[in-house]
Formats: sequence, structure tokens, C-alpha cells
Amino acid sequence: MSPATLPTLAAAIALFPSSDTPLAALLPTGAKTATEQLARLDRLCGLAVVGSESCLARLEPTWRDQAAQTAVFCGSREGCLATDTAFFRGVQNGEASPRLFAYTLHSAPVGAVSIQHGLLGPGATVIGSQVAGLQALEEATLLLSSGRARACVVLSCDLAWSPGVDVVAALYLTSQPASRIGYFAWKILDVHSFFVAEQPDIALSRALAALHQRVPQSAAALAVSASGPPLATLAALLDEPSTVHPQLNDPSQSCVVITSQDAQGYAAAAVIRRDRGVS
Amino acid sequence: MTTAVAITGLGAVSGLGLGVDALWQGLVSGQSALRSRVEGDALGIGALPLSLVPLPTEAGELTEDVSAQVLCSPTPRATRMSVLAASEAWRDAGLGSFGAHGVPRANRRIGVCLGTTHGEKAPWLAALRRGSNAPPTDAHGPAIPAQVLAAAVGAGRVLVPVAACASGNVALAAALDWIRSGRCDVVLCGGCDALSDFVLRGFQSLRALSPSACKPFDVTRSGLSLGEGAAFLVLESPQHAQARGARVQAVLSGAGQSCDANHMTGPDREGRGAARAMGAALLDAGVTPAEIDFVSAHGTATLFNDQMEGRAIVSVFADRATSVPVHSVKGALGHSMGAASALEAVVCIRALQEHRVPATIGLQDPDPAIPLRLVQGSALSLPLHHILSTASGFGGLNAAVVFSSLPRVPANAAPGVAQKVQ
Repeated sequence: MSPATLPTLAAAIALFPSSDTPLAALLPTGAKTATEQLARLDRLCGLAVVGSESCLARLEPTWRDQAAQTAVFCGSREGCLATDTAFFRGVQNGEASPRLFAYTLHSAPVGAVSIQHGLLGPGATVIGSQVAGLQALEEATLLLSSGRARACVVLSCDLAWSPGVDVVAALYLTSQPASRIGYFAWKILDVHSFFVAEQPDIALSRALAALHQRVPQSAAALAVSASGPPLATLAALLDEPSTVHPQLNDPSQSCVVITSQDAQGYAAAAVIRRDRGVS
Repeated sequence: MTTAVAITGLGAVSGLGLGVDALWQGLVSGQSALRSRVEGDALGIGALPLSLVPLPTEAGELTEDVSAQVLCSPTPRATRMSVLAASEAWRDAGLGSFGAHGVPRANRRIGVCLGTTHGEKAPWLAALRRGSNAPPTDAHGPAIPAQVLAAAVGAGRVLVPVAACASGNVALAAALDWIRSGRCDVVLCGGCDALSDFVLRGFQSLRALSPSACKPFDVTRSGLSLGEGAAFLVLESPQHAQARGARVQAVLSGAGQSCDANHMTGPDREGRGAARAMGAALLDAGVTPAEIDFVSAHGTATLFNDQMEGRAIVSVFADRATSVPVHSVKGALGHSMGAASALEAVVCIRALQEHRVPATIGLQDPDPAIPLRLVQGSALSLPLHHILSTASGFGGLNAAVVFSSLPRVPANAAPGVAQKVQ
């Protein structure tokens, strides 16, 4: 991929609400989404809508100019399993809920976000691993470079199984120059995911090897290992880089590699670079 | 124009039987796999017509190079169907052993991309029936079938994309990008989904099920019939296929996706999203609507799907909408969700090879509000060079792909992929 065609990461946000936090409380000021709309969604979709709205609120309104060619990709380890469970409990009790069934697809958050923001581009949810968010990011970069979309909202959503902390991250990628769209910008230089059954260390070493081969400067980049959903770690880092990693205050430290792996044998690594010329 | 990728292997299991031949022969001879099943009675929802895969139960019935341990019970249904279909595709591509000893591990140039709506749900449902409230483990993961396939073919890149009932085509589109971008040489891609009481009850709750075998595009259509299955294609870069002397069966020329951004379970009534996906696929393939010889429609037999699809095809094809042949296989196979468009991909490629289009089973009285040239009665024979296959799903997700026969090769051309087709 030539530097000119590298996707721009124009906005990112990560939210870590406790699982009993009303989603409406997380909406940004002036949000388009109404509380009643959130109430119609299951929590996973609501989380995705809140995350995407918070992310898009950080962009100049001109992002809407390309809504017709904006994709939505989501990564999730367990997807809608909580809703599946609620639906199936209803089936067992003889009360299958059509409302819940509509949300028993892992791709439901993609549909919900697209509907809420009028995004007409491609969409899918990548499912089944801790690194699914980075896999979604990888697919989004390939999609943008193919020209089949001009922008992409990349999400990572997972619910706490028992009372705990839910996670949502939302990133906005565009093939446009950052100066036209956002308040900060990074370039996605490369993303690689690998799978070696039950050997995540080997998978990670291969992902990093591929990264270093294609982006030599990644070998000297600030390395961040994500213990949770990696896209949320990445978004949090981008949101407050100098707080999370003071090294990023150093102008010479412009590259970050983020890695993640899980016990199944999935691993992924992404390298991003501060977009020069953008304050 | 962007690069087309080679299709070198096909595999399928469906209600019509195990294997691509069973699928194709069943379709062109006008068979339907939809049968009234006791499964519906057991659930108290009547003897609904369903299309179930006749899975083998004994290791001795299985192909010899597939691990019997993987295929036999208690390996859950979606994984078994996936292994059977994928192993057929892998053998068809001449890529060597599947699931046997000696498969190199985790080759980063080989990918597995499996589209599905639910993946392997059986272990999770079994746990719920036992009353478990335990948190999910990896063994309950929807990605199990893809991981089993990755181990069997030595793939180092694994993706499980979910795009509702367009998942199969979305998997093909992702695989196309992997090869075009140079990330993979070979991708085993397709879709799978197994029927369960979870799915049956869900569609029943939406009142989307037809009490009799579904009738796509028929004026009396009354809803969909459910099915299950798995289908896989082996995609290869043209260079890789050529280097190993592979038999290239057809090419995947392009893909396009869109979202209606309209409703969580209903399509855009005007078919605008589906039309955008079709248009994007044609553009990606460098093929004009005038060059398309046949359209494999989603054709679920719901009132709104078939209506919107008719409008979408009219929108894309304009005057040609009444002359380009269109069919749906749902009347024969039921709606197999994430497997549906993967099965339809296999049918499209056989159609390209045989120059025949199977009829739309169940269609007797075409809906006059859908002004298409629907293939009905018996299979249609005609020259086929480019086929458009389209799918749509909940959330308004649409995905379309274009398959093409191999380009004619000038007599003085250097040896290449196209010449391997004979």
C-alpha cells in the first residue's frame, strides 16, 4: 500500500461502562440518538450505537458527505451471546420473543449503527476471538484500499458476562486526507492477524514478522500489548496518548505497535503512525 | 479493472445430499429437499417443510482422507457439515490431504474465511438446556468450524465474518481482498449454518415461515422455508494456480456490499440497498449489466424480499430485467442462512460450466408485480459467461458477487491460467 492510500484514523474513542450503567448516560452532548431509540435495542447494539455516536461527534460534520460510502465493521469475541441466551430462555419458557430474535445475530450492531447514522456502505461483524477488533480493523483497511468504501466505522463491542465492565471502542477510518475530516489523525500502516491453534505466541511472532517485513520502522515502534480487547486499548491510547504513554510526547516517537493474543491461538498486530503535518 | 481470482475447488453439503454433484443434479432435475419434518412437530410448531443435510453417522461412510474422529458424533453438526464440504473443495482443487497427518502448520499464505450467522451453536444450546449459567468458553465459540478447517489445511489466517444471511457472499468478498492484496495465495472460503430449535423458533416468532414448501417469486408465496448446509470454494491467485498447474473452473471477478440502513429485520422496500450491492459488484468486476447472462437471486419467498429484489434487479438491469434469466434455489434447498449464498456460489459455477440454469422450484404463478424473466418449470440451457449472485440479510446487509467463465485465450498466447480449464 502506498503512503498516499494508507487509511487515515481520524477519531477514536473507548468507553468502559459498568454493565449496569444506563447507555443513555454515555451519549455525548447533543447526541442525535434518543433514549427511546436505545431502549429498543439490545445492550450490545446500544453500546455500539453509543460508541459510534461518541466517535462521530468528534469529527467535522463533513464526514456525512461520504456516509453513502461508509462501511461499518465490528469485532467481538462473543458477539450477541447474551441476547442469544435471553432469547433461548424465552424459547424454553414458551415465549420466543420476535424483538429479541432480531438481535440474535452477531451482525446486529452493524445494522443498528448503519441505521442510526445512515451509513450505506459494506458491513460485517468479525466474531470469535479476543483479537476480533484488530481483525475488523484489518478488514477495514483492505476494504478502503480496494476502493469499495471511502470510510469505515470500526467497532469493538463486548459485554461483561456477569456484572462487570462492558467495552466499546469506535474508530473512524477514511481514505480522505485527515485535514478535511478530523481533529487528530494517525495513519494505519499495517495490520496482520494469524491463527495457530492453541499456540498464540507463535501466531503473534508471525504477525509481528509480517508487520516488520512490510513496515520496517515498526521494529522500533512503541509496543503496547493489550490484555483486553485490543481495539479498545488502541482507541484509549489514541484518545489520550500523552497520558497513557508519555513517550508519545516525544515527536520522534511517532509509531505505535499494538498486539493482542488469546488462548485459542489467535494473535494480531497493528502499526500506526502519527500523521505528519497534522496538529 | 481489478484482478479476478481463480476458483479451483468446490464442495457442498445440502438437503439434496453430500457433494456438489448431488446438489447440482438435484437442482437441474427439479428435485426439492424440502420435506415435512417431525422436528417441527416436536417443537409444537407443526410439520414444517425443512431441508436437512443427510449427514453420515458412521465413519465408514466418510471419505477416506478426512479425519473420522472429527466427522463423527459428538462433533457438532455445523462443524461436521463444514468439514465435509471443505474437504470436498480441497480435494477438488488438488491441494493434497485434508485433515491428515503431515499438513504443514499455519501457513500464512493460506486462509480460511467462513461466513455464518451462528457458527457452531450446538454446544452452547446444550449447555443452556442443562441449565448452565456458566460464562462462555472457547469451546462454545461460533468460530469452531473455521478453526477445525484451519487446522485441516494448515491455514494461518482465519476469519469468521457475520453479515446475517449475506454472510456467504461477504466471506467470498473478504477472500477476494486477501488474494488481491497479496496476503494469501489460497483461501478456503464459504459458509455454513445448521438448523436448530433456536433458529426455528426465532423465524416462527417473526411469522416468517411458510406452512408449505416456499414459493419464491410466486404470487401466492407465503414466507420462507428453512434449510441448512455448508459450501466452500477454493480461491487462488491466478499466478499460484498457474504455477501448480491447477484446473481453474471459473473466476470470481468482483464483489460489492451495501447496507440499507433502513430496518433491523425488513429490507428497503424499493431494493435500493440490494441494487447498490449489485452495482458495486459489477463495477468491481468490470462487467456491465448487459454482459450478465443470469442472476442468482436471494429469492427467499417472503413478500417483501422478493418484491424488493425484483425492484433492485429492474433498477440495475433496466430494459434487460425482463430478459436476463433469474432464479432462486430456496424452493429446493430452503433458506440455509449463512450457507445460502455459498451454496448459490457453487451452483453458479456449475451453471457456468454446464451452461444450464436450474429452475426455481415452487414457482408456479409468477407475481406480476415482479417483472423478471424467472426460470421456472425446467432447467434452462443457454451460453453463460458472467453470473451475478446476490444476497441480503437482517440489518439491511447486502452482498453481491460476479462469477465469470475463463476469458478466451488467443491462439498465440503464452501458457496461462485460462488454458488449464480444459
